Amino acid sequence: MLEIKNFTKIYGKDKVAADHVNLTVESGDIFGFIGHNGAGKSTTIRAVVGVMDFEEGDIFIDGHSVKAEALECKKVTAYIPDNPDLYEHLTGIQYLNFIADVFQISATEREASIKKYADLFEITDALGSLISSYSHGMKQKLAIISAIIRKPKLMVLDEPFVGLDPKASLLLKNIMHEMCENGCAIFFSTHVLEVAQKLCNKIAIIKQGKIIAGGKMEDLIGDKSLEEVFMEVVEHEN
Amino acid sequence: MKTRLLLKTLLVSTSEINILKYETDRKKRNTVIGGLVGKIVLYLFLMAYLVATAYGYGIMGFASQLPLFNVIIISVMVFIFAIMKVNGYLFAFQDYDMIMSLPFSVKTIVSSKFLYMYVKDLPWMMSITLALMAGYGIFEKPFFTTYILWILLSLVLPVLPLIAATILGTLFAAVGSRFKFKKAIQSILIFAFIILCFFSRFFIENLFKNNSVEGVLSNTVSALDSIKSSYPPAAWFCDAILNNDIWSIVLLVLVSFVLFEITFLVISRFYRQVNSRLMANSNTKKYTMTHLKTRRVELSIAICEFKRFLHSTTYLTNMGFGVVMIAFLSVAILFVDVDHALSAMTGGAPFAKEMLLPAIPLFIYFFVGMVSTCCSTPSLEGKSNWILQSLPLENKTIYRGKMLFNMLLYTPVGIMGCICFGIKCGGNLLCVLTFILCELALCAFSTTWGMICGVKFKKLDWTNEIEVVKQGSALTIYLFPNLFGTMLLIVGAVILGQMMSPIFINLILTAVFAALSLLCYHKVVKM
Repeated sequence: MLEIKNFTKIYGKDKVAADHVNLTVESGDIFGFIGHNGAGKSTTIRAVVGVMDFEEGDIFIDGHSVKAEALECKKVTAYIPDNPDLYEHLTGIQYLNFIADVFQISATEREASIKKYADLFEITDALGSLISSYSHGMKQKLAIISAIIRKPKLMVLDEPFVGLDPKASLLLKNIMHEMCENGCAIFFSTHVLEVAQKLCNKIAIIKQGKIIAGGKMEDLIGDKSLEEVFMEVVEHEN
Repeated sequence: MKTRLLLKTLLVSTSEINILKYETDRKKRNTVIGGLVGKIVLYLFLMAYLVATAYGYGIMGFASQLPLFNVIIISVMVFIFAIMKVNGYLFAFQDYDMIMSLPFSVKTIVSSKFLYMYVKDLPWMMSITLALMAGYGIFEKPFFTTYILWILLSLVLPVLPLIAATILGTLFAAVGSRFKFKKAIQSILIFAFIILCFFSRFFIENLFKNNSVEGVLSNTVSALDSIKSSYPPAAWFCDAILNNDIWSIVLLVLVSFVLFEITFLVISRFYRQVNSRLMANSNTKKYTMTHLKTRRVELSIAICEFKRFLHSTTYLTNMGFGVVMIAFLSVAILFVDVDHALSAMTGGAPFAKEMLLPAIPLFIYFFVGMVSTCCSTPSLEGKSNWILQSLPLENKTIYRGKMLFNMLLYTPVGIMGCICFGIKCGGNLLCVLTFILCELALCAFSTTWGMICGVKFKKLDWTNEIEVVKQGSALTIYLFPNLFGTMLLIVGAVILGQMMSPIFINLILTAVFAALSLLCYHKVVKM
């Protein structure tokens, strides 16, 4: 579903943010992308979702090139950034309706799915309020709902659990599992290694823009914890 | 000291020079360079226009009044522009929490924000003052110290009108903050105040007019003298320039400084309180799912833009000013005897309402087309830019949606103006129809040309929307050619109207602007 081939991003003249990154996420995968701050996670994610240009390599989503067929890629992708700066001047329901308009979701379908997920995340009551009045967690929940209602084939999340309360975190994990069972691929970055270990079936570790380890979770960690493996790999690369 | 530190940081963080120094992305650098060059060219145009105007006054024997013109133009323009932006600068700005959490006194924060607003206005204020000074120099040939004094005192001149605008802006914010629809109340108060100023200016002007052109000239001198007595800083500036009066210099500087200190001492007392109220969000009652409407994507984007427009006092007052003025004038003209009004305005000069006919769509465009939401809207996406960028939308779809909003905002009132002004100035049905066509073409041009400027000079990393609504390169590049072009066209249309039918003139204008709009639209969809 997602194939990153030799992706390289250089900021300015010499700041290499991503250096020949290669990885593949299949349908049904929950793929964890881990690394230190500034390792290149967000750069890779922003390139995948078509928010950022890049010079070298290519990224394919559902067989379409992000460079050449950006629109086709975006039709099947949903993105939730780490800090969801949403349209503060809209109410929650207006924002969701706007997203539904873009994806041409029928009135009955949008009403049903918005109701379902807004109830699950317990923000139905607040949907009539301006987004500017929402807490970080509520904005995060709204961004998640806006991603789910479009039924994406690929869901890309940047630090999705930051700001979520424990109940919403658990709910999101369950939804991620449910979506994968239905054939969706999930690619997300996180700093929380325990979450990644429990949730992901595949993982990649990025350091200074380079993938230094990756593969199936059980193959990569064996009997150890992901935290131990992460520290070993990162130290070894030093 | 701390005010200087904060002011310097504010200026550096929003300065284009900083991008030029540290940005390594050539595309971004080129955009900034393009914007700066464009601004410099436009300031030079403004200066050339004002030098020519000053020269004209000199020939008419008004050279000694140029210092007073300098005071009037700077004070009035600073005041009117400031009243529309002071709210965005001083209250509920994006980095409010961050700045207020730092160890600065409230007075330091407010005064540094005020000084930031002052520094940002300096380029065009200096363009005006230098041009008028040059005109004065040509005719009066003063000693070189007069030039130095002129420049130094011109730096002090904007302080008092800025303080006046700050006091009013603070009052509007304080009043608005007590209501549920805070921003709407603030916008209404600002609009009401500006309309009041506009009509009182008209009323005061009429007091000095009589029925002879000679009388107008002689009465202008007495009118100017009365300005000096009613606004003492004007007299101080003139005395300082014309008579090198030390007392006047001291008074102008001292009064500006003392009022600055007192104003910010007072405002700082309740600044936090007003901001807290402004930034407090009231949640509406429990939402229950109802039937949701489906819309076309372009319309959905336009509605989104409309909500943004209503939600921001800065955006609404600056972009909605022309709409409100024309709506107001269109209704007002229905109750006014146009011949009588024209006679009063021109001091009895032989000017019939029919002479205005060919220029009516341009006159209306002068109000509604001088700004375009399309100049600011690509930049206003700011940190939310990821939403549209990550959605499966082509750029042209996004731009169409944003252009649709601009058209929906300006055309209805433009058409209303054409009908009301057209009928009252004696236009027949066909004439009014050509006005409407011409207005549509003008609005389409404003929309598409605005979109080109907005996209070309997009700035997403703003911290205060004033930066892109009022001061952005996009708006500057859009505004000045449009302003001078329209003024020339108005004069041209009135002159041509003596030789040919207003219908014919407006059909030509329609064809020209429709063609220009098409060209711009083609450019937009390829951007």
